[in-house]
Amino acid sequence: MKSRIYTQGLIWLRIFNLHMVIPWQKPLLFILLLTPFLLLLSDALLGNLIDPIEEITNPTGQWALRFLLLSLLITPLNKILPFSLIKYRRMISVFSFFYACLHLSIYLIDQNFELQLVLVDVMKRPYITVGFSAFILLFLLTITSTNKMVRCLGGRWKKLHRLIYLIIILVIVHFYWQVKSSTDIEPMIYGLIALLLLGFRINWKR
Amino acid sequence: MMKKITEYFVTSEAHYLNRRNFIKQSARLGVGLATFRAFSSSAEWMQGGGLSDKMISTDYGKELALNSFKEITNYNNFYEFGTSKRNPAKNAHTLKPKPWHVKVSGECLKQGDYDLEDFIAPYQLEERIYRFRCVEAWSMVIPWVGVPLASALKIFQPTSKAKYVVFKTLLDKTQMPWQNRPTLDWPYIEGLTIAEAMNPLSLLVVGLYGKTLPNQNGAPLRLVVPWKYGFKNIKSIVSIHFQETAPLNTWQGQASSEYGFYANVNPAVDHPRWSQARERIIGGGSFFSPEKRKTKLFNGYGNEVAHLYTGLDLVKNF
Repeated sequence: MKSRIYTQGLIWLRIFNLHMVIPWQKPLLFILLLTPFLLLLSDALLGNLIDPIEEITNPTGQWALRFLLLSLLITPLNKILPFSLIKYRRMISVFSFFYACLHLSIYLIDQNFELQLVLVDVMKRPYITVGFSAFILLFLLTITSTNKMVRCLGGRWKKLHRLIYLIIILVIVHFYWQVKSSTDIEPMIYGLIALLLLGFRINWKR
Repeated sequence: MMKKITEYFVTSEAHYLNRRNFIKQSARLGVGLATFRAFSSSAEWMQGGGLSDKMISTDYGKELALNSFKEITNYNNFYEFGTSKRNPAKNAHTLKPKPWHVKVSGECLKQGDYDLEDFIAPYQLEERIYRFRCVEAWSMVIPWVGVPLASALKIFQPTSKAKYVVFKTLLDKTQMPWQNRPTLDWPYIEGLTIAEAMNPLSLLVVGLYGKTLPNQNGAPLRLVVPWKYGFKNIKSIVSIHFQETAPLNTWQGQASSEYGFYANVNPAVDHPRWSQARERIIGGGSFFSPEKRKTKLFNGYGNEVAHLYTGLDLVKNF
């Protein structure tokens, strides 16, 4: 039996909604999601980076992954929490794409924008093939995430955006194949979180 | 952001190249070494004891532009202290490089447990500027202080059965906290053929930039073999072992398709996951156009070491 306090709390939260509790939440979230970028930018401007290529490539890639996972967390959270977080999901995923863009740009800078080198890398090196595919797919989802596109695509939108499950797997594989040590624990932790989030969805359908 | 002309780089390098004059002048003024140190903005700089008065300079790498002390001591691969390049500088303070013992064992006549001070004392310290090429396709130029490995090893009188020299890093989870993680098969192991070890380029290093080694750079004793990828340069050595058979070095054990025993720098043999044709020069170029250089076979030390590998298929024996 759920306690009365819980039920009452629930009712109050629904009445007030999160809007009333925290004002300016979307701009607030925007700044929050932008913070890793701002910190990197200040490090770069202050000359704190020793190897800007690596020290920007890695964190931007990781933030893209973290925000992707965060966007996947919204649906499960909605089942648990008494209020909906769905209206934040798009901003989180678009920020994931933003960090993926930075991640890719630094890689292109590292290749001195020699497209031939990039093409060879994409064809020849599996971790880049996988990462690049994930980027293309995420780009596809980002451009189809406007209100207009959602309306245009109708039922197909949901099907298309299920690609996010494929993307997260590609990103984890990209991360795992890129680290030097195959027993490095970090990609495995992210992988585990991704599996939990995906597994959660399979269970809900039943 | 222009890395090469940051104030730190210019200051430290200029002072460094002029250090002897500067020290002499400071001493004359009665200011002493403390002032010299105060010019550096890095705290780590002050950690190490001075070796300048104990070492002689050599011609090795005189023409090369040095990386700054900050770059060399804050951008490290030392997985015993974390897998990110910044981790070692932050975490390596738990290492206690003094007192330090090195165990010498295997196919040699003078086996034993040597105190590092006694181990190094008989030799003239040399400063040698070497290029450093990481298997991850970046490079630096570092002024090491050390003794030729050959002279140190000869003292132990290796027998005719000593075909390989195997080095081990300290295994101590309190001093090296990331050894609690399964990132690598601890302790770190590296090896050389006896001919490689006896090559005049091979250096047992105790310092850099005229100071004792900072912890994150492998204090108090490390190997430097500049014609090989960085991971061969094993850090914080506690054991030297002579043996007849080839050892399985740590990275080879980790992924034998990616890291071999020889690990000679070779632009023609790609790492399976990335190209080794070029290298990014740390501190070189600008943000939007990082400086790259074509990687040279044996990292440019072919004259000194190519003869070690005549008849050896460098593609198979990568």
